[in-house]
Amino acid sequence: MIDAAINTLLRNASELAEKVKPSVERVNVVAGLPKLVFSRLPGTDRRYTDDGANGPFQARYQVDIFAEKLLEAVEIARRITSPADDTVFGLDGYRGTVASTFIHRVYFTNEHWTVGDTEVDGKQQTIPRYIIELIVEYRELQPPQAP
Amino acid sequence: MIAKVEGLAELRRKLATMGNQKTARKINRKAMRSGTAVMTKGIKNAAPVDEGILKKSIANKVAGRGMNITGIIGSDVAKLKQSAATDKTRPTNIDWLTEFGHVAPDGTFVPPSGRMRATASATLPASERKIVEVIKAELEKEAVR
Repeated sequence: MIDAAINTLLRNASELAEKVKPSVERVNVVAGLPKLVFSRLPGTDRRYTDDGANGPFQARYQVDIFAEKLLEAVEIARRITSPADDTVFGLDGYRGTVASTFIHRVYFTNEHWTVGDTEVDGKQQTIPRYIIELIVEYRELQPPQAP
Repeated sequence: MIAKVEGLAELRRKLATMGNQKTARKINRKAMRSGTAVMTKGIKNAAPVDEGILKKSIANKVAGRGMNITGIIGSDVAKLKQSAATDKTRPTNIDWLTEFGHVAPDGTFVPPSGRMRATASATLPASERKIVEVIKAELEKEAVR
């Protein structure tokens, strides 16, 4: 459910809609740019007490933005990492409920970029890529229990 | 990543005010080397293995001067270049490519493993405990001398 929540949040914040994909899907990142691919990184922290998992849980994500030009990727990254207010749907410090998941907080830990040449289909191509790393603290909401 | 270890700040203060600053710097470096070794072992164990080139290449070093030093962990590029010498198509930055993901020759995205970052977070407390242990032991040795 957290993956669905992150997918929705990134779609809204980046304004890329259908071009936002999870990395578990096979995503072609050299055609139909810009594209955004998000990957869940290992190491989700779950906090337990004697009553079970009471959260909040912490998950790490890597977001890769591919665009024709690096500046375009940077612009998308800025939209995502800007603080949420009435005019901009940024994710920095975001708090709210999405896809049955209560997000306590989203924060960005690192960002960097590459403009390396990659051999695709036997031809050298330059693919600008902007990488953002984020941590999300969340709690999955339980469906109402049957009496 | 930030982890607070009880006593580390106090121990570093003791080092900074030691009469013999040459010895203090030596202790500081030795402690950092031990702490970095703990994290390196964890990262090595978590490295994905196909031919084992990446795992073998993971190394560490302590950089910086005086009391401001940093432990660095990553692939030893010289070792990767050795494996690339026989096959020019092999990249020499496989640690980065596996950690952050890369674009495959068919244009699809190969997802990041994130193993290095996850292991670094997990082993950070043990690494810092080791630093404290070494500083304490070395200060005790100096006190007896």
